[in-house]
Amino acid sequence: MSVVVTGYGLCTSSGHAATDILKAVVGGTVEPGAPNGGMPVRRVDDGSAVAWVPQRLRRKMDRISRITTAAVAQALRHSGIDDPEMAQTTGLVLDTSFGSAGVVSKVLADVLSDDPVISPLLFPNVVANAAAGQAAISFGLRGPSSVLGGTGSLMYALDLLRAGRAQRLVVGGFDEMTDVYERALESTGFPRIIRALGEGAAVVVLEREDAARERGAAPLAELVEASVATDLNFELDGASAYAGDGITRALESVLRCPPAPDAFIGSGWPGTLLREAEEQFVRSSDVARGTWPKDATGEMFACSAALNAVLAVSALSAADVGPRPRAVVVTGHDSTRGQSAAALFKAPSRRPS
Amino acid sequence: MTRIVITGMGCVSPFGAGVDALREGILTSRTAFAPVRKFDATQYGIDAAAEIPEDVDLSGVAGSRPSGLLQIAAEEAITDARLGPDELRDAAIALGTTLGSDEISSALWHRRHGYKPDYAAVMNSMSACGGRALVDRWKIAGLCLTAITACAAGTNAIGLGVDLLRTGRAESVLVGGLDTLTQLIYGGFASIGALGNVCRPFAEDSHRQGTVLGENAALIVLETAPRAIERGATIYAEVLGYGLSNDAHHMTAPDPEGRGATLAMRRCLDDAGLAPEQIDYVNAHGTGTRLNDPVEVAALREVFGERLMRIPVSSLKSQIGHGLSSAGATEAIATVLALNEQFLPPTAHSAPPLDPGLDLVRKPRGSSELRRAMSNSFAFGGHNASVALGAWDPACVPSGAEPLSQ
Repeated sequence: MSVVVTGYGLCTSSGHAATDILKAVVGGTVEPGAPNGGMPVRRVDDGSAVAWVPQRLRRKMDRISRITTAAVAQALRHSGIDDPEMAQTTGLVLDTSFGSAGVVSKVLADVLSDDPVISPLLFPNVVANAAAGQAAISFGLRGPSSVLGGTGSLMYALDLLRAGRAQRLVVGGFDEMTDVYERALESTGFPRIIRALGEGAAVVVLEREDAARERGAAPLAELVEASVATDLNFELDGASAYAGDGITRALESVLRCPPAPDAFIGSGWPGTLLREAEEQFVRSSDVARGTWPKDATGEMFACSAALNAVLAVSALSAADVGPRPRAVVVTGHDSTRGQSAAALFKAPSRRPS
Repeated sequence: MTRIVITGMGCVSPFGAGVDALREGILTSRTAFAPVRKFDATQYGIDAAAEIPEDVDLSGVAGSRPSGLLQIAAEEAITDARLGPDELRDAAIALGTTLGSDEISSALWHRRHGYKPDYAAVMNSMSACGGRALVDRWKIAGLCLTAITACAAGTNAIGLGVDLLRTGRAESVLVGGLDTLTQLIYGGFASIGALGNVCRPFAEDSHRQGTVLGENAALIVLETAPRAIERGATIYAEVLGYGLSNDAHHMTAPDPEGRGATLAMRRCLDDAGLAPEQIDYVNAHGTGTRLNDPVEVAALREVFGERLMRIPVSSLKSQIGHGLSSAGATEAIATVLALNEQFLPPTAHSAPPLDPGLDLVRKPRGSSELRRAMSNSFAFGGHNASVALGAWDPACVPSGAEPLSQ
């Protein structure tokens, strides 16, 4: 049973259009973010997200929920999921590193104040799964629903679909940057490595091929395999702390499945063992060229891994970003706990018209 | 389909360290509610919680208190399952947690008192860092996943482990949940009127004050039945299946018709290849809140029909409170004890029932016909998870499962 991609959506600090980001990444034309202390931080324009959020729910959502809901809205529209009945069988599997960082920072400030009363309007969004819950509420998504810490969503979603637990799932990642987390990151080894920080949400719609065919949805790509591995020698010192054994195992796991990829979209920062492991893979494979979007977009944590998946699907399906590859392998790393993920996408057997 | 079995369990609960302490607490119908020690809760108008006893010895474990509690639970489960270093190296972890630890608040607490904030500790508070502590201590090289679906996360993590084993991504998985009491969550639950000083699940409205927050670290060793048999492991029970759903209704209030809960339970039964009439006991989510309990009863009635009045139902939260992400895993351990030792855990209060048509277990009692049970977990964000557990019977092959060669 094949699992195909039938849509995607983005709401990131580097833009909302996958093809534009892909062209900018490949062309190296993404502008650096505004300086903010040690690491430049690029923010999502909140106004651009709000337009995608159902009006009745806007005031109930925190910022990352609005951003995530905007990405999910685009993906559902792209995939042609506009029927409430279909939404009821659609689920969500999302990754995040920091969850509702903005609300947690605000509520913690309240707790630590002399009047530690917490707003009942803020509190429901404290949980790390709030953004997924808000997106499910917005569009009536009652399918299997989960949120994972890190970069496991593609693998888990693939397993859920293959097991027949769901017909289709919105899958990806989100993360938000706040002052507290910026300072926390600065206290680790991140500033030595990371060129910029970003934020956002990126998702794809994964669907059982038979379900997509039944409703006449055109596949943009096929997800062949996905895997996750833990870096055994990781220490919490930022992106430089990986030894690279986790990503090597994750890549080996997905590359057991054909076809051999001819494109690579990576996640390791320059100068790290992760990047070395990824560059070594590119040199030793049929891949003509590796691309590392984070060099241009900044570190967006769980959103970065998901963005790579969206860019792979875009490269496999869009007509105006150069020659289409045969198959793309993507990686993602959760820089806070030493987890690496890899996924292999290939061109669909049925091309979209 | 590969059969998945439970070969080890470990926990630290408000009854103390160890599964034996949990069993003893359940069987004596004790409740663990007491005034909060960790912070001044009276400012929220209530002051009860079910905290882990202070005499739980953390001196031999490295890291923060939550990490230490998790390691104590893991050590018990790993020892119980008799997993050696080679088996652990290839194992995986699937942990459920809400905020992971309370280090972020303690780190930032310094700011209030004029000290430099410890932002490195903030990084250590990330939700998946609990699992990382197990990787580092036991050199576990398999997958390390963290479900962060709030109060459904512990049960979601069990499901993650089931899929890792069924797909062959792992040969054994440590699944479970971790959450410790934090002022952030306590104050938040108080702000939405969900807390009380006693927890009386499924009592009639005037006797249900709200839930009492608790804390646990609970871990279960899952492995495939053939491997467990091959290495001579003790098999406590079988995980028959699980189901997930979302209410898609409200961030904190359940769907009034219980549609999401019903979907999770039905998907769980489908996955397990069971008919509703094959469930002998339900370990309910049963928070004791105004909104949860009637909706859960409605959903149970939708799934089990009129037979619900003959299915014993109980809620462990009446004794150890609501441990958020750790609740599902701890309640799964309680359910395994019930299946393995043929008793029904109680709902430890004597208030009038919410629904006279519910067979609410009031005192622990023996049951010679307890073969299959369901445990429910429902969460903020509308996330729902149900898991079906069965007494281990190698001769009874579930629908769709591969027969065992012994």
